[in-house]
Amino acid sequence: MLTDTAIREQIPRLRRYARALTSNRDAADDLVQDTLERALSRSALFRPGGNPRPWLFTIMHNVFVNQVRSAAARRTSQIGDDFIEPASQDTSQDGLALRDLERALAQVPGDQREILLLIGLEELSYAETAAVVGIPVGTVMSRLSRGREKLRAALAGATEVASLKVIK
Amino acid sequence: MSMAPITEETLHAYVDDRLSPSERADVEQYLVQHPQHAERVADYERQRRMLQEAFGPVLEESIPTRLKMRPPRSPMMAWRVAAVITWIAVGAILGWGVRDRQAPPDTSAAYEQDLVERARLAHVIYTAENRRAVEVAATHEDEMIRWLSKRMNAAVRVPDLTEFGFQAMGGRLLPGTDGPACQIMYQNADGKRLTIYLSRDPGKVRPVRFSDQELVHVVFWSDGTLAFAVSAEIDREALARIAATIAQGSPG
Repeated sequence: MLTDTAIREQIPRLRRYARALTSNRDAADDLVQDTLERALSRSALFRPGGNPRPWLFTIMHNVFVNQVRSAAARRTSQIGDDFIEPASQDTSQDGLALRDLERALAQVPGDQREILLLIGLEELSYAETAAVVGIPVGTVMSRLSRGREKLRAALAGATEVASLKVIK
Repeated sequence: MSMAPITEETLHAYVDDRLSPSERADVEQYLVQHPQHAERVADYERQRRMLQEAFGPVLEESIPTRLKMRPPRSPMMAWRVAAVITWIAVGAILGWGVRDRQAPPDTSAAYEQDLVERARLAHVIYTAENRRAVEVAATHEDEMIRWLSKRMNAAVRVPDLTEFGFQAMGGRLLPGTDGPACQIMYQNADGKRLTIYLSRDPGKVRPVRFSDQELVHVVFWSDGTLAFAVSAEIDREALARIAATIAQGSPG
C-alpha cells in the first residue's frame, strides 16, 4: 500500500519529466493528472518496501503511450511531430535556448525521447529504465544511443539555422 | 594492459557517470586517442547539462491546484466495486435459488442459456489457438475498437484489466444469435486466458449471474445495449472482481 504522501512527494519529479516529454505545460499536467489518478486507484497493488518513483514513472509511461496512440489515431500523424507544441512565449536568451531544446527534443522519436529523459534528466538507472518502459536493458542502450545522436543532430541543425539568421 | 574494450555502451555509461574510477580512467585514455568520439561524448555531456538546466526549474514551481490530490475518488471507486460485488453475490444466490426450483424455461432464460453456451464454446475454441487466437491484435486497439463497434452497431470497449494481470491480446467477430457477436481475449503472464463475449441485447438489463462448469466459469449480464459474458478458468471470486471492473465501465 502506498500512502498519498509518498505519491505527493513525487509530483515535482513527475511534472519535470512530463514537461520535458511533451514540451507543453498543459499537456504535461494532463499527463501528471492522469498518472496520479491511476496511481491512486491502484495504490493497493504497490509492492510494500518498493520505490514509488519507478512505479509512478511506469504508470506515466503507460498513460503517455496510450495518449500518443490515440493522438496518432485521431490525427494519423507521426509520434512527436505535432504532439509537441512549444508553449514558451519567452523571447529572452534563456527562453530561446529552451525553445531550441524543446524543438530539438520534438525531433527525437517518442520512444527514444522517453529513454533519453528517464536517464539523462531523471537519472534512473539503466535497469530501472528498462523496467519502467518494459523492454530489455540492451534495447534501452540502443535507444539511448540513437536518441542522443538524434538530439545532437537536431541541436546542431538549430545552431546552424540560428547562425544563418545572424548572418542575414 | 587489461583494459576492457570500450563499447558504445561504455561511452554512454561514462556520460551518465555510471562507471567505477578505474573504468572512467580507461575511457578518458581512450577518448584522448579517439578525438571523434571525444567530441561526441562532450556533446552528450552538454545535452545532459542542458536538460537539467532547462527543466530543473520545474521542480521549484508551485503545484497547480488541479494536481493537489483529491482523495474522494478512490474510496468512491472502492464503494462501487464493493457494491457490484455484492450485486453479483446476490445475483448468484438468486440464480442458485432459481436453479433449485427448476424454473420453467422462458424466452429470457433460453436467451441467457444460449448466450452462455456460445460464450463458453467460443472461449474453449479460440483460447486453444496459439497463432490465430485473435483476428485483430490489441496492438491496433483503436482500429479494433472502431471495427468491432461498427459491426456490432454499439460502442465496444476493451476494458483495462492490467490490474488483474491480464493484457488484451485482441478480438474477433463471431456469428451471434441475433446478428454479430464478438470476443475480446486477454492473457496473463502465466498464459492463462480470459475472454469477454459481447452480443447485442438492446433494451434488456439483466443482472449479473454466474454459470459454473467444471473448468470454465462464465459470468454474464446485460447493460441495456450489450450482453456481456466473461469466461475464464480462474476462481469465482477473482472472476467476480474482474466482472465488477468491466461492469463499472458500462453505461447501464
